Amino acid sequence: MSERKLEIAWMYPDTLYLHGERGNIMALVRYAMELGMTPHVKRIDLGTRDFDPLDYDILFFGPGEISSFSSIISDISRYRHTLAEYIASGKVLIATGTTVTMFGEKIVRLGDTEGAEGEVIDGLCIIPAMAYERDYVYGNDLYTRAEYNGYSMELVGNQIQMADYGYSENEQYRRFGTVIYGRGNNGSDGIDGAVLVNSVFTGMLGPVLVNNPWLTVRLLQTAASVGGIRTSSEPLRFNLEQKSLKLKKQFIESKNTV
Amino acid sequence: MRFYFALWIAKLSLALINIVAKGRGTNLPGQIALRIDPLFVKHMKGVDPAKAVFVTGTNGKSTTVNLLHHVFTSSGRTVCANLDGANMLTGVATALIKDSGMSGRIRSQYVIMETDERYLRFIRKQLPARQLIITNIQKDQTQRNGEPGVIMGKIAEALGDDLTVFVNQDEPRSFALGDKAGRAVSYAVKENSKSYHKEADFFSVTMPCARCHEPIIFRAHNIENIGPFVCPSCGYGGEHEADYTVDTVDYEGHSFTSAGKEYRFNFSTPYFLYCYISVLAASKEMGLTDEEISRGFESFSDLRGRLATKTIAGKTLHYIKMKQENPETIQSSLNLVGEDKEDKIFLFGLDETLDYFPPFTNTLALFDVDFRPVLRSGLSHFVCMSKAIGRMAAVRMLYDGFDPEHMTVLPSGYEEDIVPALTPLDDQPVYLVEEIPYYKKPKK
Repeated sequence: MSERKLEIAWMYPDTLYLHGERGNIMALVRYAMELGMTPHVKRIDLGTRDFDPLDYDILFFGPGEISSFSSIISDISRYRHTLAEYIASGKVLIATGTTVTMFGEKIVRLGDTEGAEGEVIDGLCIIPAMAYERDYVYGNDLYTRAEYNGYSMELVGNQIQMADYGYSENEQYRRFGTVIYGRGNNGSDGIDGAVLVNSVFTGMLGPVLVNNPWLTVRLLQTAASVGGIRTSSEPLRFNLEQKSLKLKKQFIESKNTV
Repeated sequence: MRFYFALWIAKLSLALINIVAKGRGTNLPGQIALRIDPLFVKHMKGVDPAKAVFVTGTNGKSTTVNLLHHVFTSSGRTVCANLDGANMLTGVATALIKDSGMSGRIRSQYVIMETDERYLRFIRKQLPARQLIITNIQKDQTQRNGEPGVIMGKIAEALGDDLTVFVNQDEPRSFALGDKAGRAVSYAVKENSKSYHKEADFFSVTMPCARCHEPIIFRAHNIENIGPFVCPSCGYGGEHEADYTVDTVDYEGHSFTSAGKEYRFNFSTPYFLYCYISVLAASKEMGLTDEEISRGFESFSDLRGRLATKTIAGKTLHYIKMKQENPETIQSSLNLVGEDKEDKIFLFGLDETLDYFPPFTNTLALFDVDFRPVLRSGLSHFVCMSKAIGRMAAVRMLYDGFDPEHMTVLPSGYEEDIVPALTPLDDQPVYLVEEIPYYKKPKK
């Protein structure tokens, strides 16, 4: 009997489209193959009718514009309970950038006048977090030490922060990254993102899984383990990416700024 | 009295700057004037809002302003403009100072200003131009703009019932802003010999509809992410013909037609067609005749192009300037390189972002663009140049299956790094795509 495929859902690629997120899907495909799996990616758009999260091993949500979030939340609401079941079962969901705030309780948008609150978007209530749209964009490097599934790793990427949020850590909601340089969730608690069972929410965006393939491999191994898919135990090498990590860290250290 | 003091001090500073460095001083005099009188631009005399045009958007502002200025001046009208691209309130103030006498009354009949997308709302509060051309709104400078919707919102704040807005019907975001102005005049370019269709590729993405957020479909791209489009869900974009259209283009013969009339077009890239048709629309709506516009187009040439040719390491180097913060211009540059089907060496200068504070190792665009037009056109060697992110550009090429044996990563785009890397390579044309003009100056 042939091994079943690793099923990856690329969520709303034309709406959560901001920073070249296809790179992350390409990274998942590339390293799934290197781990001896056969990946299969399906694009899920607004209104895709036959979508059931539980049919997948990995769901990937890239960053999108806050103005699109209501449409997406409304679409996801059709299977919100299944999505919660998906996460609770240990399957892997990855959300990057401002899209993380969609999984919180509410997103409070800026009002028309300075300091005023505007539209309030009800989130998916998967993370107990309130998000507040920022009145100016925060763009910078983000350098963290991340903990995932028993592994500790350094990650470097970019953060374009459109909304800040925070939550109380507990056994269920754990920090994903401890910020070494950059803003993280809000610039004050030193945390980037959250981990809920095996699902990852991070403010790091763009080709984060290309830049940090050691994370990509851990995510794939977790998804494979939960899904009962065999993987190769051959060690993978990331020479270019590791050299790149070193140079980016040097660049960050030379900035002397936050 | 404060206004006059501001004006005279600014004029004095301008005179001093002209002694020290003639041609500079595109912002400082305005900065000084606005420091003394924060409403300085509003207090300028002789500005008729009905004869004032602003141009804003992500790409094409400078060319559009220069072309519009040329059409108006070549028809005998006098124009005050910020042709040097100083497009904040201080730059606008400086242009007005230069055009005015000691009483603060401008001499020109018309005001044509390039305006920064983020600051348009502040500029228009002081100078309520009644015409606004929006070129396009694309991903750009994410560190300050975040997402295109933010820029749409900032432009929208400047719009009102008193405004005629000229909107690009082929660009989904800017076209949506037509709903927010008193009057919208649309312009577009019909599919032509240089239009292209994107492959129905699994990894291709489009953008959300500005009205319903469903994916937009482009029937064709005249330039990257600009072309006839429609939202299959709500019909946005496909409802009407634009008010002004480029109907046919003859790139070899350097002409285009619109509404049955032929106009001279001194360029060979589709990008400029949008500048021309928006200027045609604004000029006609402001009362210029076809003959006047045609004469202006006939004699216009933009000397500040993004293309240049040089010799380096004994090889011909074709330089293409990109805005590395704007994936669409990177893609247009890659498409241009891909038009040459001969074997070539490709130097790609995606660099750390240093324009704004704090500097950062920006790799966001790497997977937002498609390198296959270059790869398929005959690429023999790939060189990437950047201290901190060059290796990620190399990784990007690995994802497209390019042989790492034919790649070189340089720590910088300095000539002394480039020349030794190019010297041993076969004698082939070299294409260099980067943000900084030519290759960087020698290291100090």
